[in-house]
Amino acid sequence: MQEALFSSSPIDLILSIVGLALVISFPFTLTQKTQAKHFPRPLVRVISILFIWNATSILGNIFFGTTNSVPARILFGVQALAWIQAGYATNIVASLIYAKHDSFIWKIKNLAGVACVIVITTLFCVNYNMMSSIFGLRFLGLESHPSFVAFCILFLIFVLPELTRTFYTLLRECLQTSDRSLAQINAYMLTSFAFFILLPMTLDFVIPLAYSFQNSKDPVRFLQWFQGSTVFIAVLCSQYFTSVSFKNKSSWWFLNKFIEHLGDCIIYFDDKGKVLYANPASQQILQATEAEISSMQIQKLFPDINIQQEATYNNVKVQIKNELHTFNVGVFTLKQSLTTSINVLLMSDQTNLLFYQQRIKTLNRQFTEYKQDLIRYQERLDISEKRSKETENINATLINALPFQFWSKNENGVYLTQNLKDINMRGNLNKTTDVPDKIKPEETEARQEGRSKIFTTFEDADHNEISEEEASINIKNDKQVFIYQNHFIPIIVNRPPYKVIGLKIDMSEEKRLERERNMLREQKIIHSRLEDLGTACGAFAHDYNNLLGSQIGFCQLAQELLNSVTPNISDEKIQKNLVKASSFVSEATTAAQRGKQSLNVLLDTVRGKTESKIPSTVFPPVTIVRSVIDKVILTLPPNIQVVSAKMDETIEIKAEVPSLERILSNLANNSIYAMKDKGGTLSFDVQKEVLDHQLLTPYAPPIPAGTYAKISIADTGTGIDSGTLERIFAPFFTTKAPGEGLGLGLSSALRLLKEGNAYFTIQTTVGEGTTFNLYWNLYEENNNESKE
Amino acid sequence: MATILIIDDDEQFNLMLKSAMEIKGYDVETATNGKEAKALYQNKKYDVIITDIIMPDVDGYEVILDLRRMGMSNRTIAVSGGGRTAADDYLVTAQHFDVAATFNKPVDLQALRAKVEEIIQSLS
Repeated sequence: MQEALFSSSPIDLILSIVGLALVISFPFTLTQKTQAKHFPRPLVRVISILFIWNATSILGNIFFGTTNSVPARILFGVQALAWIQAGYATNIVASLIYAKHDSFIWKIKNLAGVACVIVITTLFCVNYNMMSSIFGLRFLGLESHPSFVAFCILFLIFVLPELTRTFYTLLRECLQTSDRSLAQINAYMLTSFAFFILLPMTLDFVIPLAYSFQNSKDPVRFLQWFQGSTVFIAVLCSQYFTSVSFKNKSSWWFLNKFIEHLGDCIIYFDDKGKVLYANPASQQILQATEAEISSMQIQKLFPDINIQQEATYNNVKVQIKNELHTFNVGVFTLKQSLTTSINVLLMSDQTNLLFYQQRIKTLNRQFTEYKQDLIRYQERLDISEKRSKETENINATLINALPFQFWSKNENGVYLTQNLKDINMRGNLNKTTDVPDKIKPEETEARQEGRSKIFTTFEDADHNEISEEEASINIKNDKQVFIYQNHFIPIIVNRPPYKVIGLKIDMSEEKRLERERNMLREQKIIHSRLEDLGTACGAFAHDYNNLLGSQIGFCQLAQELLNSVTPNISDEKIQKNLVKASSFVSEATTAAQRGKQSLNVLLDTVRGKTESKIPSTVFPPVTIVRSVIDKVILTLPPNIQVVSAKMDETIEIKAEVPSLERILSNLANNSIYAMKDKGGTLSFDVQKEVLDHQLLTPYAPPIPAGTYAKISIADTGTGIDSGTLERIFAPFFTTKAPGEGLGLGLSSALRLLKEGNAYFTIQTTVGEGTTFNLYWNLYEENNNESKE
Repeated sequence: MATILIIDDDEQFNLMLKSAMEIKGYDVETATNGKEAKALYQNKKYDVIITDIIMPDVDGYEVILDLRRMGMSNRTIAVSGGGRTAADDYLVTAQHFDVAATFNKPVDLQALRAKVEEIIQSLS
């Protein structure tokens, strides 16, 4: 029976198919995992080896079974061509030296293996008997398995040493690596690898030999188990590849990037000092291209440094193209394998470092300064904010405290601010505009042309604007009139239109005071004129009085003489004449006496003095008014009526009774005189009147605020024209015909009023009549009692 | 015989008063101001001195005060027509200076003569 080269068992077939499927699907899963577009060549090689191995196994199983024909032998040889290369392929994967090209030895060895396989296969095909006699060893049942023996020898020569080397590589990696995770991966790999080698070795070689190929019903197929386990080895290898390459690649990539971007110089060099690599920073610092650096010797660059020994050197000075640099230099050795190592030179440019340190110091100082500046600015900002707030407060308070209306509008005529007075007068207009018709032309002018405008407006009691003429009419008629001074002030910034400030100043009170002042001034002029006149009168009266005194004295003396002489005259005629002369002198005395009396009245008026003080008493003025009326009625012409309807009986005043009586009589007489032609009504009235503020009327002194008893005497007579009115209180001024009065009535009435601390007003219209109002201080019992 | 000094700037008044006194039999001398009067009353002792208040140069008050110093207040009579303005009331002031009597102008001659007679009586 000839040796079976392939198996005919369906299980074997299925296993081979599964192996093939794994091999085919394996690149796809790997692609997914690593996302690599190209696999390293060793991996591709492993995959193709396994593919051929499994494919030939399936073909043999299907077409040849256990028969040992020539085509079967050729197919077996093809299969052998595949597995003969498996050992080295595995080793390459495990050694992780993918980038390297296949070594020359490998090529020779591989070629030798392939050649051996071809020779042996050819020999088996050509002369099977010879081959079986050569390889059909007479022990352990090997005599019927010449192919097994022949290919076994090839396996031992070409595959097993490579597998052993792989084992060694993995073991070395596992023990040497300082990376813990890498060591772990290697350990797993090693264990699995050992298991997957030792297991098929046992099953494929040890057991068949031990049982002399008798243990199994099926004929033994060469490398039957090995074929399966190699699939697992391939999977393991690829796993190993991905894990390790993943790990290495990331750290390698990171390191490369790091080195490339590092500001310090990194130079790799070999044991002899030849530069292998220089990073961009070192190219920059050494001012040379990579090629130039590669041609350099480290010893030349750093003569003081022993490159064989790991060490660090501080502040090494190096001259680089006219620049003196200071470096911190470190020399490190990295073991790449047991025998090879790579040296690394790490240079950090202290020049720059020192420079940067300086810079940092400067920057730090600047930063501190800036920070302090910032704090100062913040403080200043706080202070100015506080100030501006204060100013704002003051402004707001000031604006509200202004004694007139204030508002401001922006360029478009929108209200920005209003003070309380303005709000009270016109309501809150903030952020509104005025109706275009109501905007004054002066405001428009201020806004458009930047001219300040001041003008006066008049308003009636209901705050409707009226013209100046209407206003003056109202003032004359004693109606309320508001007079406003309006200011439109532009805030000139840049170009028109401008913001405008408006002020509306209530001048009513001022104007009123101005009118009063003018009135007072006129009165003062009148009164001073009266005073001058009074003084002149006084002087005249004084001198004239003395003259009269002398005259009276002389007259008396003359009369005395005559009286003493006359009785002694015997001549009757002479005596008669003397008596006559005496009576003449007497008449002269009487005339002088009358003149003296007149003078006395005048002097009293001028001096404003009553010779005998009459005590003031408290009495209701009504009683005096009544008695005056009674007196007046006696001599009243029939065409004049006296009316005294509503007189307040309760009020009382403190005054001199005769003064009041004299004043009232004087005024009543004047009134009657004014009505003597036309007739009319003379009315008396007594009322209480409270004056809230000083009352000022034309022709009369101002009346201070207070509570008064007002005694009025009104007639419907001729009235007094203004020219006369100015002079009515002047002494000796009279409109009466000579003989009807001296013209001292009103003058003395005025004096008596002054003495009694009383006041008066006079209202008169020509043709309608005159009213005198007398204001006496009201006597209030409670007040006086409390004072006493 | 009693002597009287009349001091007044109004010469007519002086004459009138002098006449009135002379009728009564007094010896009368006159002066028109205080200065003249002083020259007279320092050299001669008068029984009665009648003086006006308002006069040019040395006025009546100075005369009255001078006479008071000489202890002659009790024989001095002040006469005044009152001031030219309301507030003046010279005679009240004169009374404060202890004059024997005051008279308003125009003077009541009877009363003045009676007073003069009274002073002369009291002195003798």
